[in-house]
Amino acid sequence: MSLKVVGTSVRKVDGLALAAGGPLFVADEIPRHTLVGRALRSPHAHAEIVSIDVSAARALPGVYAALSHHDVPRVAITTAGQGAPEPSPYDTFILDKKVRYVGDPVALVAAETAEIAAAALKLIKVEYRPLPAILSIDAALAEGAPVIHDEPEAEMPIPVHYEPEKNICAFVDVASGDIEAAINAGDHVIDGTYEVHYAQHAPIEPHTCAGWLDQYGRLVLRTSTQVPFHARRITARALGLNVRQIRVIKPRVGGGFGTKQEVLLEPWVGALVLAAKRPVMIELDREEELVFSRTRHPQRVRMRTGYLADGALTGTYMEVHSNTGAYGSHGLTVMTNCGSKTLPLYRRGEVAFRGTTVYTNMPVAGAYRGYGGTQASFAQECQMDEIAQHLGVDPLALRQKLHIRQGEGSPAFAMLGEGKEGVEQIVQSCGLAECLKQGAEAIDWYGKRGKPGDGPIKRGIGMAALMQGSSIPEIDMASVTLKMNEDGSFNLMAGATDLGTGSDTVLAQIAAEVLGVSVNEMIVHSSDTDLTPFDVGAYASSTTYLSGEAARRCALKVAAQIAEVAAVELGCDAKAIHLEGGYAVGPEGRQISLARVGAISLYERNQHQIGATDSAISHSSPPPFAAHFVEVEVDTETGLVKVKKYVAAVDCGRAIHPALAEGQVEGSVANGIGYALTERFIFNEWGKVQNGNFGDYRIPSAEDMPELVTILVPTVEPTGPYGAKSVSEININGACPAIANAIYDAIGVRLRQTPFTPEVILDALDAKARG
Amino acid sequence: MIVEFTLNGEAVRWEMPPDTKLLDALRVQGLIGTKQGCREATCGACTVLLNGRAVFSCALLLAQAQGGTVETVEGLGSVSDPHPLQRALVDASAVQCGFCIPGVLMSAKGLLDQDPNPSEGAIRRALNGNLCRCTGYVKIIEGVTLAAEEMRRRV
Amino acid sequence: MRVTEYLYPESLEAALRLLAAPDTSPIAGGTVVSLEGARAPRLVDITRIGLDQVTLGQGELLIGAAVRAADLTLETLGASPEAMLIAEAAAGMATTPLRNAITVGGNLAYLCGWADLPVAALALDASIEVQQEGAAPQLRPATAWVAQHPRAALPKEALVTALRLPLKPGARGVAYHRFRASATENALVSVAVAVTVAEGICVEARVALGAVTPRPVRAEAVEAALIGGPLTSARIAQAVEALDVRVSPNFRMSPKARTRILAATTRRAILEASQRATGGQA
Ligand SMILES: Cc1cc2nc3c(=O)[nH]c(=O)nc-3n(C[C@H](O)[C@H](O)[C@H](O)COP(=O)(O)OP(=O)(O)OC[C@H]3O[C@@H](n4cnc5c(N)ncnc54)[C@H](O)[C@@H]3O)c2cc1C
Ligand code: FES
Ligand code: FES
Repeated sequence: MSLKVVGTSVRKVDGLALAAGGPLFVADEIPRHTLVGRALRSPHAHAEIVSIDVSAARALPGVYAALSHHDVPRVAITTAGQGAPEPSPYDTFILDKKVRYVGDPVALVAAETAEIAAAALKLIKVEYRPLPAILSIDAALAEGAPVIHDEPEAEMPIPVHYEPEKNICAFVDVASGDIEAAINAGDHVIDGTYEVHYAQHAPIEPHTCAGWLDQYGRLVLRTSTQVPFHARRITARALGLNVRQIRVIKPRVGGGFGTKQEVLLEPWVGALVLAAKRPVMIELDREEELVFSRTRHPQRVRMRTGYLADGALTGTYMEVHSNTGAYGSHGLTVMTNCGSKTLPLYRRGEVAFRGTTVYTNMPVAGAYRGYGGTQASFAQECQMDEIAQHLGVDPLALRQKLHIRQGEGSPAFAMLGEGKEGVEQIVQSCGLAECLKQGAEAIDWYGKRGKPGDGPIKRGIGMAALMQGSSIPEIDMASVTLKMNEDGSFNLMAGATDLGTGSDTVLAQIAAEVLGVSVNEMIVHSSDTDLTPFDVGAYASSTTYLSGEAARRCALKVAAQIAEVAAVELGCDAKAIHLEGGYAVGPEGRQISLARVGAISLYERNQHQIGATDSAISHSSPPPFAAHFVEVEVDTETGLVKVKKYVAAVDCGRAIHPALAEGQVEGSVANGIGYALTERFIFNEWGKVQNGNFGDYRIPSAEDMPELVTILVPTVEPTGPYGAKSVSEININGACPAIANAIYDAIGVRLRQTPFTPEVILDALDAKARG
Repeated sequence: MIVEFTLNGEAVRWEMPPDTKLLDALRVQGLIGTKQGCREATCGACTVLLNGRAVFSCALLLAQAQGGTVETVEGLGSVSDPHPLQRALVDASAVQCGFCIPGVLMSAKGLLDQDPNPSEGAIRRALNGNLCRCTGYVKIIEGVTLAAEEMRRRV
Repeated sequence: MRVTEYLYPESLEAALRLLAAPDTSPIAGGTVVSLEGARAPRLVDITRIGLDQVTLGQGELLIGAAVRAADLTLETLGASPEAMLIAEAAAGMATTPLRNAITVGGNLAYLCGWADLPVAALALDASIEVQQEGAAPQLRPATAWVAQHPRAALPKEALVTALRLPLKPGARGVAYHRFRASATENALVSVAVAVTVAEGICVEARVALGAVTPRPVRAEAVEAALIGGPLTSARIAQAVEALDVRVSPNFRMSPKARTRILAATTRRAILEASQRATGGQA
């Protein structure tokens, strides 16, 4: 098959419009006289609202709505933005009579200006009864701990273990066989506990949502969401409306990385619009985005692994404690993904997984690129290095020996899926061996490892191997609609949500490939619940794999319709026609342009709209693979760790758009490096985050980034459109373990807790010196 | 107060309260290409050129522009007639979500106007106030380098 | 505070006259005024009154208060050890767009904990020129400038008009080092050093520390330990042991770690300054 469009780095369909600074984002184009919506937030980590009075705020001139929990429907929802029924607990209200972390919303106002809104918030009188706060996983599980979710409405919509009276948001305990026997069959057993910290997605555009009532009284929400259809459903539930009464429009979105999967602002804006009877927009400020939206689940991951003298693994028991913060968004599924997105990577013998997600009075965790894979890869990949070190073998060689290969399955696949049992799976494409080889060459693994140097600044090389998935099997669904115009162009309407990932372009490429046209013939529209067909949205690394497949199928249907029309014109059988270069080409070189086909179908003969809608569901979640290599410098006098070079070798199947795929890798790696070194929350003693700004929450700048080498290792995934798998999430998972392993190479200190700040390094060096 | 200045090559005269930030003034006047990502001088989405130099429009009052020149992304080029920097960033696939891009473009323009042949280090330094969460900066730097080459060829 | 009036004087005299009125304060780069709000409802823009000049005088470098941080380069300041220290201090301030706005006077007057120019000024024995209506220009030594916050020490109508650096003779070496975990964050530690060497012996040493105490301080004990002997790495290391500054708390890092990093950074800065003073002979 020779591909013309797929596999080329065409100009991104929205690129120039974005670079020209057009009105593409929510805040760029709002109705006249849109009010400013703002939230009053709790100063307490845990408290009951004894009384709240918004009347003075409401009376302030220029204020059109002021709402407390008395003024909004009391319906428990989850903000998780997943399919229905959600695998996340219904434990959240638009506004509640209890606050569960510093920053929890207590009231909402809508006013003419930001100044008036701020003044209105000051007029709201709240009496709190502070409750003891839970600020750690252990405190949540302690005997007699205060109960964070004691409201009777809290429930889990699917039948899984949920025990809010013990602060347990989710619990899973599964095994592929007799795990103790398997571990003990090893010559050695390693038992390590690894901890990862809070972090935030930090999209440069904060969550933004504008809402108004249209001429028919329907609620229109123009919002920076990854999940327009879920946002519509969840907002309807929260406000007591029917889905049909709401229209969700997703314009361009300024980055999401998971946090915009959360349906945070839409119910608020809806409530304010209904109360104010005027358009309202809420734009989170930077502190709200960083601390009060959603974050990465901090976790403690314990791995107990039995292994033989030759390195073969006999069994692994992974035990995860996950902190979901004040609400249980993605509490179950991020936790189960810790196992399902790591354990299959190696031939492990038997596997077992036990996970507990707890509520605390801390910032709310949620979906974040990597989604459990980030957390558990740190544990798994550090432990692989520790095993190699114990056996005195090269950690690269150990991984090369043990990693899963094409044609192999893993007991972990069926044991554990996303929030439930998994799906039996055989890996049908795996380029990991090549990733390991090419990555090692690019970093000069054999030349540079084990040579820390003599000065106070030591050098080290480290690595990690990674896997993820592509979509959630038997759950995710995507659809695409195509219709043909008389100039031979096509409208492609996708429910899939381009957040900057380039999925509009990728879908256009796939459809264009099938239809034998260039991407310029594709007019892409995503997404609008009134106009575009259903798609679960942008998450779980599903867009290219699944929405791409929907685009391919839909385009095949349209191609067949074009052939029917062309066949009549060319006087041949429709089956004899193929589409190429903007023409329907028949036997003996007879051909007709698609523009003619379009015009004939709309105006001339047997008039009808050429067009189709098709959907795709996934039956498996083929893992992309990656090998990451890093070179660091560790300053033993100041503790500063600097990344000098980073190599990411990635098997994402066939890259539909290689440059965009590289961009996904590069962005993920940058985010991963930030997470490993500088991005963290600094709490005070009562649970308030003190660094909710970009000055003190440091995401990498252009001057922070090291030399970054991306290597795409092509494979062909038979279940993916044109052989594609996912690429967007996996590459955030490597930096923590690879850097930890490189630090070990540099200074002989094993760090089992992220992040690797100067202070952590100095303390670790001290501990090592003390012996 | 009334502030008169040259905006993207045209003389303008805006009447606004004296503590209006330049960022807010621009957006109220419909120049929404300049983005707001923090209002704290820490993200760079609001970068514009004032008298030829990149500055954060959230950390500046409109009044400070009195008698000066302001350039925003709208003045750079359009979809049908893009500036070499705009074209190069798109061609380098440096535009992912695009939210940081107007600011990046203005910082890059500020640099190239002073230094038509910047080193990679100079580009990184010029862009150090423009946070991008999507790209890891690799393709942004490639794009600026490409644009510099193209602009040198033109003169 | 809401701003009701924004004024554009065209001369220093006019600016001083305006500032003498009540409820009036200067605005320069505007980075603080725009982000944190104005301190008075009437703002006087001091960037159009000729304070944006750099003048090389008799044994002195005079940097106008309205010169932007981005212009503090060797190109504009000329080549001298003093210029080099100022340029190194300015080069690492904030981010490029902020450096294009921040002024010398604003940086000195605002004097926040991590401000860089006051640290460099301290190491260079600089003076800050202050003017006010109806009074002769005053020169305030940098040591006095940091001893008490200028907001408390100066009358409200006073305007910083220049930073004046004495250009000292002899074999001089300077270095500005800062420690931070990422490229553009506020320093956790900053150190400015200026040393003079004569016949292999350190005859003058200034070591100024920033970001570790509410306002910059000199490490006088270290200076004393440096003077009177050769600047060998052993002597420098020993001198740094005399560091007795109490590092104030900062939520980003414990005082313990910061004290240790301060010592390492100070040692490295002195070492570099010494090498520059002796042309690498030390
Ligand atoms: C995000 C961020 C990071 C920063 N990082 C650093 C850093 O790393 N290092 C560093 O040194 N600085 C840094 N700064 C700069 C510093 O904090 C101040 O913002 C800056 O020095 C103020 O200068 P300006 O010219 O903008 O002052 P303005 O905002 O114009 O004025 C500040 C104050 O000083 C007064 N003032 C101004 N000029 C004069 C004068 N000539 N005489 C008397 N009073 C005057 C004003 O009335 C006002 O009260 C940073 C700033 C920001 C926003
Ligand atoms: S909005 Fe101005 S720097 Fe972020
Ligand atoms: S492209 Fe999204 S922030 Fe830069």
